[in-house]
Amino acid sequence: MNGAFWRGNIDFYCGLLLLSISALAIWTVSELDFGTAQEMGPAYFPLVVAGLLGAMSLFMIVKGLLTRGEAVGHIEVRPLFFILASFLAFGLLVQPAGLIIAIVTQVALAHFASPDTRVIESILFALGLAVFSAVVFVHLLGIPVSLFP
Amino acid sequence: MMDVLGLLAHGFTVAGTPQNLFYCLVGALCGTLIGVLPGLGPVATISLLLPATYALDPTGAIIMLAGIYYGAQYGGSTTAILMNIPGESTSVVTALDGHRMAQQGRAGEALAIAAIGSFFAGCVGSLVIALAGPPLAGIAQKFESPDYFSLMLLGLVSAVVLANGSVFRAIAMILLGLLLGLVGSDINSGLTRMTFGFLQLSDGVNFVAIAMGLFGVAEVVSNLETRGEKKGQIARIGSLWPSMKTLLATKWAVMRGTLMGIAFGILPGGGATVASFSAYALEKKIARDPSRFGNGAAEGVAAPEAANNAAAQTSFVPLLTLGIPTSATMALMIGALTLHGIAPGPMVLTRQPDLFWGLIASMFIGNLMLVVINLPMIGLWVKLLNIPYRMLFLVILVISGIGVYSVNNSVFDVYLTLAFGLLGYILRKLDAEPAPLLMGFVLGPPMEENIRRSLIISQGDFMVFLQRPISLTLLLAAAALLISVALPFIRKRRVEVFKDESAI
Repeated sequence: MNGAFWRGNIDFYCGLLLLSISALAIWTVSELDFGTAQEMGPAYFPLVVAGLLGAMSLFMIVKGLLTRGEAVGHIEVRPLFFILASFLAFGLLVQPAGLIIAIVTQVALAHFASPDTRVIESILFALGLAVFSAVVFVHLLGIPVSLFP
Repeated sequence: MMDVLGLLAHGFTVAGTPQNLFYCLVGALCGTLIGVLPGLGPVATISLLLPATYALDPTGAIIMLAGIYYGAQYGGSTTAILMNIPGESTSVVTALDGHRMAQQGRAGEALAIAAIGSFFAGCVGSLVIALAGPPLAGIAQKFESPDYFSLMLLGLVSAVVLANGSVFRAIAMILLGLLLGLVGSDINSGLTRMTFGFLQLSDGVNFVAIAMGLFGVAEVVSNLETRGEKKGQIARIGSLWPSMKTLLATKWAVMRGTLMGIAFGILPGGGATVASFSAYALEKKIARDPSRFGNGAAEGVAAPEAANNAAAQTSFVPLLTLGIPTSATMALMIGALTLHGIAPGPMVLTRQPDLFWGLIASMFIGNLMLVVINLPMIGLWVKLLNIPYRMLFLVILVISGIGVYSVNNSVFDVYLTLAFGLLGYILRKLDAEPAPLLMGFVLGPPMEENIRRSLIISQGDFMVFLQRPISLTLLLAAAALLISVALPFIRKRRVEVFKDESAI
């Protein structure tokens, strides 16, 4: 921490993440009945678990602040962004536009997640996977989704 | 004993129907495939295939999923031996001597020893389930709510102790999993909890979405990040027939590996990876000339391969008799059974004898299939080694999307998978392995139910957990385990065991 801008470490951020999750949990169950040990209300067990998690995450934060710790590894934005985007696109499109368009769009976005992908291959895989899913999931397993808009 | 044989024979009639033979074969093929392919493990694959098993009957589903798990133990060794890249974390140590053997032109021999060792261990492991299952389930039937609660606690604690990495973080991950498991309706009051107003969450967080997000989507992102595909030279296979001399030399190594695997499989938290590491370490320790290890010692292939396969079979013992998952893979099996409305536990044996005995019988059949799949057909799998990840990840991604959607025809579940993918990625970046989370998730609701019931009976007195002998024993065991990790020498040992594993 000597002078340079403090970037934090994995303990600190892990604690922070878990603390916010447990705080959220405590906040959302706090309106429910806690009950007694003999007659546990719906909030009893979740509050105990979230409380323990919160205590542990506080400990992590303190440890992260007091020790040097390991820095957070390099995060590459490209795969993360495009993989999540491709999944989101599938979710957004599958009902309004049908399965085929949803899967082709999903693969098209995923194509940009890696510099190793090749255009021809990805096009073939997009079509192949769309046909495969149509046959297996719609035809064989019979899930009710339309193939086209 | 006669009873067991009779029941096992019944199991073979269940597993021997054309339908179940087919599921067994599909499982074995899928398992070998993902075992061979680096970057795709059993946890991710079983998550991917969970939706598909929804359409099958429960027995067929579990036969197939089990086949994937132990099939992966066979396939993993192929990549380890031929390319020095472990296809699975369970074959990391196999690569050490297996690849040296391949470089010496003995690849075929190494593959054959691995397959024969695995087959022997797999059969013994399945026999152990048949023999140990009924008595254990009998004991479990004496369990009451406090005992169950303590048992689950012990299960979670031992999972933490044997888990990879920081104990502290593993406990935090379990708590996070428990919390996620509690999302949805409270059984007693019928009120919904932690749903943030989402009606789709009132039945709880979709298990498939959590599993696929944490292990499918998050792993794809992590794998794409570590650029530069590991491309190794594929060694020439040569003769598949090991010399009689090598076979005899590895005989005892296979036995020891099998025993090691059986023990670690039954213990919660152990599983196939720890078993293979420990078996290798043992062989090296007792060898007359330890310097042979790392230079192509056949025992260094035989023992860990036997161990990981034995453990893959026997980890079903606690699952089927006590309802306790010993690893993330077993948590997925619980999820699969629950999707079919079967509560894993001692009742499986009495209420679902077809499933229990059919599964065990299918393991014998599956192991036999795997030897055939892996030895004579080895050339086919070697070709698959050339499939680059840039194509594989597209397949994983598309099957995750449509798969999770198909469970409830719900777009909400697709977004949920996305969110858990992001969470899994962040947790990995922060050095928190999400595997214990899945175990906590599965055990959340039964733990709450059992602690509730215990305290109703005891009228709110927490001493009930210490007053019942079974519960007290289990709690003491859990406490002893927790204390043992704090001791420096065991701590050092853990680091040693997992040192190489993080390389994958």
